[in-house]
Amino acid sequence: MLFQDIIERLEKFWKKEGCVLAQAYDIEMGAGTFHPLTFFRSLGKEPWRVGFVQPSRRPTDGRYADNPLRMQRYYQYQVIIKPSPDDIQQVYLRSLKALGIRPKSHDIRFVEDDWESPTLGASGLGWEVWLDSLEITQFTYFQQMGGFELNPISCEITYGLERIAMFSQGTDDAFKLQWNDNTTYADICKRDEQESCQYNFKAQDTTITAQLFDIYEKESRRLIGMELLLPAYEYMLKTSHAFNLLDASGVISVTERASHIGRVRSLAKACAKLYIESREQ
Amino acid sequence: METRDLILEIGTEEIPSGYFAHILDLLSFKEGSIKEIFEAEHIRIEGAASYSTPRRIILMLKDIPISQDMVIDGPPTRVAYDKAKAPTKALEAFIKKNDASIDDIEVFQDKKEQRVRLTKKGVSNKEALERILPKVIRSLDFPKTMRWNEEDFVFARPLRWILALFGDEILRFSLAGIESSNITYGHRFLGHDKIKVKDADSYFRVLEKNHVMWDNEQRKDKILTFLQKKRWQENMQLLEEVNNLVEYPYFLEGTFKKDYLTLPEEVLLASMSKHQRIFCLKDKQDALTNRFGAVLNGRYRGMRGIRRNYENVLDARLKDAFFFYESDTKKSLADWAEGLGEMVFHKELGTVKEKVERLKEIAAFFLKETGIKGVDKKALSRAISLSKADLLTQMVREFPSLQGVVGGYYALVSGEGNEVATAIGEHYLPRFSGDHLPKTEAAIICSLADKFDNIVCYFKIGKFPKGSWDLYALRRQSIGIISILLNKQIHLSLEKAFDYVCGITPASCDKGKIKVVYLNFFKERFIAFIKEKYDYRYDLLDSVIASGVDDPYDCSLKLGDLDSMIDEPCFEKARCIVERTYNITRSSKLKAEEPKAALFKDAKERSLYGRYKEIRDEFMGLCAGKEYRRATELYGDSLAEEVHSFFADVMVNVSDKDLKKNRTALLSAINRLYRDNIADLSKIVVTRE
Repeated sequence: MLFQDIIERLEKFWKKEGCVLAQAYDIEMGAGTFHPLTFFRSLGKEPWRVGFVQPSRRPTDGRYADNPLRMQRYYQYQVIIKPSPDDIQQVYLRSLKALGIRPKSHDIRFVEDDWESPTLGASGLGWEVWLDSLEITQFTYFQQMGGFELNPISCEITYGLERIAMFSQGTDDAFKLQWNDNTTYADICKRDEQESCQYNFKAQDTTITAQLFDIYEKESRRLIGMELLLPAYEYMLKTSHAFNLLDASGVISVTERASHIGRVRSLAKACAKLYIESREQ
Repeated sequence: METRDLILEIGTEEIPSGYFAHILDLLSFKEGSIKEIFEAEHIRIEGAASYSTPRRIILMLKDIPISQDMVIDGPPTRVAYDKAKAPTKALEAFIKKNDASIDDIEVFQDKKEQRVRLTKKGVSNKEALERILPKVIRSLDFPKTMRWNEEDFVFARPLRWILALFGDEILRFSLAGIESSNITYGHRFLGHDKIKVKDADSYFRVLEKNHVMWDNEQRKDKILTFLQKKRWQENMQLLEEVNNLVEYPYFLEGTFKKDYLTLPEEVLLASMSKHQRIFCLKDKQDALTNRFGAVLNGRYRGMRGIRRNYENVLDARLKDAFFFYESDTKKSLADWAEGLGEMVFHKELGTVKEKVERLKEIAAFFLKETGIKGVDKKALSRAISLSKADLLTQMVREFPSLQGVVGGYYALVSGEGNEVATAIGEHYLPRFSGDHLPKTEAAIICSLADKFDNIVCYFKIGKFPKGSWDLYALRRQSIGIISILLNKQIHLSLEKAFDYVCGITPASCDKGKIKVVYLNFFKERFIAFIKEKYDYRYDLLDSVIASGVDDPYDCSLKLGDLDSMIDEPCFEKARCIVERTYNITRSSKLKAEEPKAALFKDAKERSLYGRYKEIRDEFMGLCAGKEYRRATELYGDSLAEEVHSFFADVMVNVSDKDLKKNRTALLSAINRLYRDNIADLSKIVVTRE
């Protein structure tokens, strides 16, 4: 199945399950969990169902397009279902069938994974879903977001699109994937990947990135003070990405690392608090 | 009495593999108090068996009576009957409430007064069991729990069905929004869903037909047999884990590129076990090969495709390990160590660089204290400088369990000598009970220094292990210390070690108070260690412990010697002396005071004192030479007769206070001679015939 068909099938599948088909967020983020439609919507009481593709940036995971499984930018398909239905595992397995993955021809396993995002003050319990020993999905029952205990509980399903496509197309390298019939994943992403790795690991002016971190943080703080929720949150996202870049460049010491994460988390928590308070009014 | 079997199956979404051992112990009554939940409802259980798969927890109870007579206590007689001995309203209400008649009532005497009671014949146990089972499920505890719906109920993972059968009857209750039933589910992909089970007897057959191998032990045996046949690189921990990841094991063999065999063995194995939970297979010479064994959850169509997928994933993972190895070794280990100044050991305890500097001093101190010979001091100091450098490497960040091991390899690559590399590689040993111990002298010193530094540092800031909570693995490290000292026959004073380490570590504390906690902590760990490894009599252990555990290896020598002679006459002689002298001196408030020869009156006491003085130095000499058997022989053989004839002829409790005090001092000195140096034998339990 073509890369773009996989996305299309997932959209179709989750549309039928009543999801809003949303779009990716236009700011760099490490995972779909940072998308406001995940972060904020998991906090409230109302039911919520959404699905979207989110390009996800993890600068430290870059391998100059040399490793078939690790990239600094890859695509997630993210689904949030609140409250989590009783048969959510079966629904998920049906979605694999929709992708042409027949459970009786593969070794599919739900392997414990206690998920935590220290930058978002979020945690949850669930699994990595293994398809013939490859993690293709993160399946999480959120327990906490922005430092707040959640009730009702949202279920987050995050598909690793490249990995699923690799299975589907029988290739052992993400860059060999057919995006459509005449364009490969490499055509679209390879040069970007290599150049981004260059930038993340070597070409970065880390003094500037460090300054940006401080500036973004300051701006987010200021906006939190003005109770401008989304702009404040967006600057938190930028702060978080600046931190990820610094982390990849290797200039950040272990102590600083913890303190930077703490600074981002405190912004995320403040945003969550603002959201909850504004809902109460 | 008619009985039935009970089956409780708690159906869940996949529970983490590490959670089952404890739960199975709870359900088979090996720990915890589930048995008491049944007993509170007067149901006696003959035998409980428990099983699990990733998706289910099973409790089976054999032969529970369908019904049983039930005794119900009523009001006191003075309330039940009026003055004319006629039943009162209260008694009538009691009878009515229990659906009985006046003929069922009997009078009995309880602890306080006379009361009435009635015995209901043949009361069904069903209702009681329906009350019990939800309590049983609620009593299961897990390291981490979660919520998944709006019910006020937490569990390891969402609960999806509950099957509860008592013979062919359903035990009905509801929990977490689920009604119990006679419905089970087979293997997620190979079995049926929503299967009605006729009765408890047919339950296991239904599971079997639906590809669920429910017996953990049987499942494990099957996996183990296969892996042994395939010459696996043994990894029992991974076996346990894999066993709890499948309902129906099936095997798959595959290969990887031979090039990857050049990776350090530990890295190769860690990568295989961490990412894919697979085993490396060996050849006939016991060398690792490029073959692996995987345990799948069932036999599926298209095994060839599954195998290719496993191989591709492994290839990518090993490629990654190579990436780490190559990029890490571009810098020398000494260069990596530069970064330790930035790495915090603990926020109250300074940086890792400071710790490393401290470890050098502690190592020098231990070298002097233990008298360990043949250590290249330069190599030792170099090893310590580099010992923590690998914490900064990508490899250890990816595989934290390889700390030390990676450092050892990188040291060799960086051109350090073998002595240095081995000391780095082994300084975390032993990492668990039964693990290897550090082999070289330098590694032993490094290991001791690191562990003592950790224990003393964390104690100073109040991070003592509590209950099952031991975040910094201090118990494991103290057991490691004891294990090294005993196995490597090293004498070391725990108190001196504390004083030294406490003096040069950061953070201030109430030293006296912490030292008491520390010494008690080590004493407990020593007792636990000895009990696990040896079969000494508990009273012998008590008596040796009573003389102090300052030098664990010394303690173990005493135990060994005394245990070997515990049935010999000279041991009994020594024991009698210690016991008799203890009994008569225990109430006196004498402090280690020597008797005065000038005050003796009786020839017997003079002669006992003479004998005591005669052997004292020799006894002390034997103790100093750790010859506890000979010391005990000397003590028993030389003093027994004199002591007994002293007791026969000399009064201790005389009215002359000075005389009494002097005689008590003599006996106390004899007592202390043995008790302070070897063991308090008055704690030995004697069965008198």
